[in-house]
Amino acid sequence: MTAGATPSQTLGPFFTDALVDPGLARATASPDAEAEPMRLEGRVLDADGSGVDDALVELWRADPDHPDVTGDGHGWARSATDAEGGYRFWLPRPRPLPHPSAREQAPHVVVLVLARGILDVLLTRAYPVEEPTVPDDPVLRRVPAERRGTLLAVRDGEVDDVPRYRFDVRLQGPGETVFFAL
Amino acid sequence: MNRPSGRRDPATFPPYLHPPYASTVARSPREELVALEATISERSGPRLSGRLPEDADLTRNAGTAGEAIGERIIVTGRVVDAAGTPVPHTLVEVWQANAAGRYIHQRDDHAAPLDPNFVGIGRCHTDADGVYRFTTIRPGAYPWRNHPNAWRPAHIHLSVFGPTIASRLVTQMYFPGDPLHALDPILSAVPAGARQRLVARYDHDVTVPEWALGYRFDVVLAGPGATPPDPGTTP
Repeated sequence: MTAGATPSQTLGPFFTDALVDPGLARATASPDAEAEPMRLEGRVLDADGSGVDDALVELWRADPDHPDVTGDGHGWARSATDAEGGYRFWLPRPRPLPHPSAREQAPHVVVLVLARGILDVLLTRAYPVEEPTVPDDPVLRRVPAERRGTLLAVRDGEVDDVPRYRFDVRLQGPGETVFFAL
Repeated sequence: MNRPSGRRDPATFPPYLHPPYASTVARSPREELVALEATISERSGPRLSGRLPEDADLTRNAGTAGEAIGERIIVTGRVVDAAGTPVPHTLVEVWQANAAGRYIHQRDDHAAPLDPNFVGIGRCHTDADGVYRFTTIRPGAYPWRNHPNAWRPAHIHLSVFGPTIASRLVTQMYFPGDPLHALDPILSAVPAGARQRLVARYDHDVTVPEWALGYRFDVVLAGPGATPPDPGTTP
C-alpha cells in the first residue's frame, strides 16, 4: 500500500503568466480524426452572478479512437477568464462516446474550473446542442431532471463560419452548474 | 456526500466551502455534487510533452543573463497514481513568489522588491520513473488580505496532470518548520490527518554540495486509473 493521496489547494490569483498562453485555448484532434471545428464560450459566475475574472478553465475532449491517453496534447485546451469572467475555446466537435452500460454517451467535453477560492478542481461536462433540449445520455440521466439544463452548451450562431456554443458555469446560486464527484 | 464536502475523499481533500478562507464563500457549490462513474471521458487525458516544453531551472529562465537572488534549492519527487505506480511523462507546472515574497503579477502590490532575474515560472515532465526535478530559489512568505495580519507561508504552486483528466491535481508545496502553517486558512482547509503531506521533506541526499539545498515532495494522485473497466463486469 502506498502513502495517502496528495491533497489539493487553490490555484490562487497569481497563476496567469505561468499557465496561460493564448495558443492553449485551441484544442486539436489526432490527425486521423475528422475535425469539424466549433467554438465553446461562456462565463464563470460566482454566487452574486458576477464574472469571475481570475479563473482558469480547461477542456478535455476524449477521443473514442484513443481511449487511454491522447498524444501530443490533442483534445485539451486551457483559457484564463477575462475581466467579465469570459473564456473561449476552439475545438474539434466532440463525437459520441462509449459507456460501460453499452449505451452511447451523447457528444460532450469535460470542463475543469479552477480559481482563487476553489480548493479542488471543479469537474463538469458541456454537451453542445442545437436547441436547449436535453439529449439522451446515461450520465445526464443520473442528474436531477431540473438541473440537467445546466450542462447544455446551446448553439449561439457562429463566428467566422465556426458554430458557437455557449456554456456558462455558475459556481453557486440560482442555476448552479452541476459538478461531479469522482 | 452532502455539502460542504469536496468532490474527492473528505479525509484527504479540503471541502469547497471553508469560511476561514474568505474567497471560498461565494465560489463554492452548495448543491450536492453528482456521483459519476468514470467513463472514457474521465479515464483518459492529454499528454502534453509535445505541446509544453520543459523549462525547469527557475534561477535562469527570466530571459536575462543573470541569476535569481535567493537561497538556491532543488525540488524533486515522484508522481505516482493511486495504486503507487509511477506516472511517466506527465506535465508538472510550478509557479511561486520570489525570495522577497513578491510575484510578477499586476495584482500583487506587496511592498517587496521584484527580482529582474526571476519570473517564478517553470515546467517539467516526469521521466520514465515518474520523477520530476526543478531548480529554483526558496520563495518568501507574503501578506494577503484574507484577515488582519494574514501571511501566506512560503509555498510553491504545483499543477500535475497524471494518467487521467480526473486525476488532475493543483496543489501547493510548503517548507518544513514554518510557524505560519498553523495560521494559514488555505493549508488548514486540508483535513488535519493529510496536511503534513503538503510539507516537503528536507533531503540531504538531494542537496548538491557547494550548490543547492534539496527538498523532496512526492505526489500521490487520487482518481480512477487509466485502464477502462471491463464492460462485461459492469452492472
